[in-house]
Amino acid sequence: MEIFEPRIIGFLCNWCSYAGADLAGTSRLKMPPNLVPVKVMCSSRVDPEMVTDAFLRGADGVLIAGCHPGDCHYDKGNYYARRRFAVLKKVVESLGLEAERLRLSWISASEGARFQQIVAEFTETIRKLGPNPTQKETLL
Amino acid sequence: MKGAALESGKGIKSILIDLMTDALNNGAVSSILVPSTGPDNSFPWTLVTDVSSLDRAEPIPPIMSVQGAKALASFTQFPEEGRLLAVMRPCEARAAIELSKLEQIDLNNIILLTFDCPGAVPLSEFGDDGIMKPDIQQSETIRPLCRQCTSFTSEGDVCLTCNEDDRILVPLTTKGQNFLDSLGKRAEADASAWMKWAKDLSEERQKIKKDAENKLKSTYGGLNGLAEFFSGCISCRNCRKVCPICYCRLCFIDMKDRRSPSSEYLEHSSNAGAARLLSNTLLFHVGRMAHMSLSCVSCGMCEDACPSDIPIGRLVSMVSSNTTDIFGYSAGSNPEDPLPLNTFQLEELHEYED
Ligand code: SF4
Ligand code: SF4
Ligand code: SF4
Ligand code: FES
Repeated sequence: MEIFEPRIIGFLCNWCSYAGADLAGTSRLKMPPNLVPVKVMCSSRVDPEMVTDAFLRGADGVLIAGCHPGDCHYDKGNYYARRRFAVLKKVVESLGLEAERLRLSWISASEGARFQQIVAEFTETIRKLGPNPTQKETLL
Repeated sequence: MKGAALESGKGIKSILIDLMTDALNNGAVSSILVPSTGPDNSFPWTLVTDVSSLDRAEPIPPIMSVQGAKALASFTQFPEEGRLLAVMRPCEARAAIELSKLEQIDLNNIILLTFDCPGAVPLSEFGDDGIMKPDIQQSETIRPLCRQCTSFTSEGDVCLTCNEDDRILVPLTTKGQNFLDSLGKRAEADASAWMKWAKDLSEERQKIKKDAENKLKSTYGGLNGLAEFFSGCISCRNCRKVCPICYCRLCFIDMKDRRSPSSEYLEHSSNAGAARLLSNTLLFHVGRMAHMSLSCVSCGMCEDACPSDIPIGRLVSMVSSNTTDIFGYSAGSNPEDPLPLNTFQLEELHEYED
């Protein structure tokens, strides 16, 4: 049987999570190839519309990753991001869509290993869920 | 709660007109925003500065023509030296309060006067021949969102309450209290009978609302259900256009709606067998709810404006019940509560993060 390889979009904040991803790379950690990174300046840059768009256009999972609370380069961006993410997740859940495909994680610049672990874990979660059904829906 | 007793048993409309007349005559306010009767049973909002024009005022029209908050948001700051009395439905006053938090209305010199709202008749069922009068006792004539409305009274700065023969003007804020003072009225009458009426009706409506929301979710929840729900959507974006909360000059969807490479649609088509064009229907609606559901006041204006009879207001309102629950927020109810997205707590929402 063909193994399903999820496609995951990762919105990574420039100052922490993207640097964490970089560190995972330079440390030569074995990384599932499923995550397509999109660099954003801060987790709070991620408008829910960007996540919705990725999701409806068939991304099997969407990860938003930013600096740990208290460490945002712009001080409070990630606190606002967390509220917005909660709202988006609730909207998606209320509409009976698969909210498990959306994830918010905090990953610092020094946490290469954590980055690798989160991506691997999320990939497995999504693999179990199967492909995003939006790809098979005509009336998007 | 106490308020000023007005003429017992008198019609609500006449009482509101008396109040507006008094307020203009004694200089408590310099102008009034109120719907007036226009040709062919239309009820446009009017800014009235002359008492004689109050003849045509229709403070409780059978339909909602333009959401009152949208009328209020159409001008910039109201001048210091004047005061404006806006006579509107409770959901319109709540939208005005939301818009003031969103910095789209400056409520400083504006007094919001509401009343026990009988609901509104659906625009589509309101012809210019047979006037359907909304009747709070006969819920089948009013719009579905009105039938499940739990905030049908007691919003804004001051509210005209009508329980049986009692007509009591209840101040709700300091501004409302000052308004009563300027009319020389004292809040000495006991409004507890009305409060009980409102509480009972609100509880009854709360049940209707929950049932309706559950039914909506079980019928249209999930991707297939949602696709079905929006299958008749003609992408006119009217729902957004008439919504008081969607004030953005440039909506995200207007940027997304540019032409895309055909390859994108071909890919979708090869996966799904066929791809809908125009695309972006779900993106528009889900994205919109993610943007504004926290501030939705369940006024039903969007639903009234939908040419395809999609119960869009009920859907947004259902989602709004859930999103506002996260923060214990209620759109437009309390001017002091900050917008949930403009504030945060250091320790919260841990179930959403890791
Ligand atoms: S979404 Fe619809 S019901 Fe909600 S505030 Fe806007 S117009 Fe009113
Ligand atoms: S959907 Fe969002 S961007 Fe569009 S008008 Fe409403 S709030 Fe603004
Ligand atoms: S008003 Fe109705 S048809 Fe038009 S975009 Fe909104 S839901 Fe679709
Ligand atoms: S800069 Fe990383 S979350 Fe704000």
